[in-house]
Amino acid sequence: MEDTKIAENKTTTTTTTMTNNDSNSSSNSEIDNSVDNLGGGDIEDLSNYILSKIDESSTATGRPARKYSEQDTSTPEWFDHKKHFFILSFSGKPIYSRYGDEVALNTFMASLSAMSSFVESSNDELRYITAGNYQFVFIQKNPLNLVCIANTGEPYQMIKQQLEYIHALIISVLTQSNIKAVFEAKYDLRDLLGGTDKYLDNFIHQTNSDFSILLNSVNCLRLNNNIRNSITNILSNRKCDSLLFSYLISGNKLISSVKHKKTPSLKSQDIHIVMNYVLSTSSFRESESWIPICLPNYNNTGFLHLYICYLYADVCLLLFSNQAESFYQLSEIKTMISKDLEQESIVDELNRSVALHDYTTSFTDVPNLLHFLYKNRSSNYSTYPIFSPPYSIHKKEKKRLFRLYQHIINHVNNSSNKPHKYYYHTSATETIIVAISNHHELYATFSPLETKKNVFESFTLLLQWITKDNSIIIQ
Amino acid sequence: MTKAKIDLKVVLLGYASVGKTCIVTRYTSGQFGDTHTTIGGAFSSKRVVVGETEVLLGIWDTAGTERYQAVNVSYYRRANAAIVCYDLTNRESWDKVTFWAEELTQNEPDIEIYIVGTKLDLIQQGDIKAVPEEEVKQTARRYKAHIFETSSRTGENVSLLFQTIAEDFCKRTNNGTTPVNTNPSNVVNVNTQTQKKKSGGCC
Repeated sequence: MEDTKIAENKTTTTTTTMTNNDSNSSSNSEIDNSVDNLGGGDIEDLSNYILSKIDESSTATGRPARKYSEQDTSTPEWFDHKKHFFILSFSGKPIYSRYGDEVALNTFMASLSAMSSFVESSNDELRYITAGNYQFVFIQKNPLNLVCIANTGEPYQMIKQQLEYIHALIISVLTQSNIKAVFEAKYDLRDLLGGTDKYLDNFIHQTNSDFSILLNSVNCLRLNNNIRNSITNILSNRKCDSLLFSYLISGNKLISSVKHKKTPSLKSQDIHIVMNYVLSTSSFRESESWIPICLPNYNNTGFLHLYICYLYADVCLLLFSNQAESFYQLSEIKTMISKDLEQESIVDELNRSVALHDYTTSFTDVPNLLHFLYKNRSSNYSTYPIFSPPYSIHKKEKKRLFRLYQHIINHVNNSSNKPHKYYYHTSATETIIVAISNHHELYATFSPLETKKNVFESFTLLLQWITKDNSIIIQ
Repeated sequence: MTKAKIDLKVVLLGYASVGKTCIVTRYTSGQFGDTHTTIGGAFSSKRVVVGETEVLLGIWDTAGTERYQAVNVSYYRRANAAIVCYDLTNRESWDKVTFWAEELTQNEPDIEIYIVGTKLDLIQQGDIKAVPEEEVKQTARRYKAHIFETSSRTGENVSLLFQTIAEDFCKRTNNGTTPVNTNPSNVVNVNTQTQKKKSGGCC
């Protein structure tokens, strides 16, 4: 199980394919071409024409065409994407590609499969390959291979964690037992995964930008502690035999959660999977929904049944049950919860808080602070401010800070030596100070020009503020 | 005298992307737009009045994708009516109609089946029907099913479909062929439904 690095010369062939494939460059999408043909035509005509094109493509497949679906290894644009994700079977059968049509990428995926089976044949496991600026990260999850190819410079552990999140999402749709059964019966997994592309696309995007996933935690909605307690009380009072967990969320933030039975709590990874479903499906907003879902960390062999209903514009109630028949019972519980919330006049306060929950560093009154991440290690809840200048101005800057945090989090948590208690990073662009204890992790960002003394003082103030303020994180 | 209130459970079944969710959205909110692949099932309800009776339609919209076929049983169980949809322009979606009709007659013999061809507007714009009308009629006869053609884009026949389902159901309950669910509250009570055995029979 040791790290396997295939020698550079073996991978150079792959690298050349990634860069020198300009031979077939006649690859503008159909719509682009037709726009050129129409020249300086009437704008309305043009938009109608494009609309009809989109209509055609969507009636052919039944759904609007996926972005980048026309790209493959013969189109140079395909090689411009910074981060590719692939899912294939152990035998190399394509299942999913983040960019491009997986069937057209058949041969490419076969070569990925060859790479991992080459190493496997010597009873080892291929973890990653470095080729120039590109990193190929592999995880093997029988019977699936997941591969990420990235030139983003992210640490291996972080990419691996993202691949594991994506694998968990596949399990949540099908369960591990079903996936194995499908492969034993030699079916095409894609038939069963139909329509899952969108959830995978969204989840990949999420793993690339969400601090709570980065910290392996659940982000809390900022809410007055008394209101939060009343909500938790209401949730725990309204229960029935089959009800396991009640969750109240807003977007991908947790308002309150209750565990009704003596079962293990839900892991943050499972909660992120559920939140991704809820956020990616606009139709949940319109009616009550009842879906089978597998939570891989809870039980990867069977389905739980999830009742989903939006109580207010941005407040969604999730009830997890172990019985397929309990929909109407849970629907009654929802009605009672919503009555309780109204009676105790929590609704207005809750909706006001949901609208204003974001906060910036200035809310903390800590001088010189640019940004911070806080995670409670025992509850796995996290909180962090929204970006403020200089990060809020450019998307690029946000991404850069995200990538920097990735490296620092990786360094303090995954280093082979004893875990760090404190860590001080300074570069031309920022200073980041980290404190890790059994109870929490705190990462705080300052300007690189700040003196060490100021940084330390502010850091202490910030830690005090977080422990004192009981609204930003679930206590 | 207060109006009699009855609950009616309707389930939508059919091949992926035929427009099941669109029918429901058109009917319940009067809108037509982008929908996403349904996962699991979605429940919505609407009140309709048939003569002196107030019918609370509980509509179950199900996922058409193959992986949910096994769980769809739990959505159509004890349903009073099933809308089995196919895309008028897509032959493949028609093949699934027989599958569902067969499964429904096997498992829920009392259920009233409505075979609904969707995307009628495409036919009106000149597309050719993928399934000959005679074939549809034959299948409908075999399963004692009703036939509808709807367009969620224009709204054509959508309300009519649900109104007919409600009226048919009232007729059946008044004839005494199906027990009346006279639950005074508007909440569907699963327990009382399970206790009442349906007597079978179809008009």
